Amino acid sequence: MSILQLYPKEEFFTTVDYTDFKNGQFCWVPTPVLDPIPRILDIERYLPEEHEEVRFELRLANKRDDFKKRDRSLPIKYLNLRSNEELLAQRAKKRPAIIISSGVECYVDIEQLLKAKGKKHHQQDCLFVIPCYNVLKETYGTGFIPEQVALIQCLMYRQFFYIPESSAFSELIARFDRIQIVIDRSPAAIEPTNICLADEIFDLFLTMFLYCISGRSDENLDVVREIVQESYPTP
Amino acid sequence: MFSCNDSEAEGLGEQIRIGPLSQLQVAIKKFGDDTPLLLDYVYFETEPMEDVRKGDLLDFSSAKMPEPLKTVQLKKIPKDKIKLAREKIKLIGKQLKEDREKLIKEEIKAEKYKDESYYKFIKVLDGEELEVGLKGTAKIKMPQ
Repeated sequence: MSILQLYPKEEFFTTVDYTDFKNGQFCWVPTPVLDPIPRILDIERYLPEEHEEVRFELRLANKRDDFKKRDRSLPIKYLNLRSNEELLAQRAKKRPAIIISSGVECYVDIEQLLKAKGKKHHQQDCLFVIPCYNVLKETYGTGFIPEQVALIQCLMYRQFFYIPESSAFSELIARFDRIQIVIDRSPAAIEPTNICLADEIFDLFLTMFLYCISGRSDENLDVVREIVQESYPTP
Repeated sequence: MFSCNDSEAEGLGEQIRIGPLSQLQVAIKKFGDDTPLLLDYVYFETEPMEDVRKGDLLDFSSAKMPEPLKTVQLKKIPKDKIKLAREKIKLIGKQLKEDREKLIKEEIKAEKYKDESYYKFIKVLDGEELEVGLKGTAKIKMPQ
């Protein structure tokens, strides 16, 4: 409950146009599974005279000269790797994510200015999104456990934010510590939904994010957190 | 002789609830290519194998059911405090709105410095995209 005691589920969300890419809007975004040590797809030509037939080896990026300028084997035309670059490989899955910042959304005046100058594309800059993860529903499986969910609902973890069930998603936990950047609007990069956090919820969400990354709070957020935290049972 | 058709296996996965399915996936990942480890687990860490002798019938009723999920009962927030919290969130929103307006003004001021060469420079900084179409064979080499 707790945060849901302030705003019941019906007040948590609003609907928007799919094409808005508005702050607070839910989207599906390919989200990497972060490896503590990055994985390199080490690649070399299969034959010295061949550009398109290659050999790969997936390995940990822990060799002393990885990402450093060095003499490599023959370059591969398609990859165009510089001498200090590597090809990385990651597992990833599409997750719901919440847009936390979109340039176009914030700068309406600038959008009009650029439109007048015929430079609208100059403001199609990146979106910052917060990926969301599932809550455990059964004894086994993946997802946040109920003990953690209760703490998150009471705003006791600064890196997590609780999202109740909506018409499109079951309960979710937004993870500020997995923030991502999306630089394209095509469905391969981001698939928007028509669900969005309501304005007041988004303001709280954004303030919690700022608190998470900077530790900077304000008097109003302190009061809200104090009230919500009082609902957590005392040990 | 047993065989496993891939498409059938995929269908099976869809029929199993996420709870047991994830347990199966964890077990396959852990024991899939390690039979001695699987045998050790079955012999020494499963309830029906406790205190049995060769030839005994195994009693599977002794297998423990997984513990149900614990729920945390949160306390009810008094109405006046809910009202106060919502007022404070409105104030947070007001402050954020003022901040956004300030940002817009600053952005308009900065816009005059963003000419064609600025955008060209940004493009150069971003670098080229990785081309697609490369084919090859792969070797996966990871420490266990």
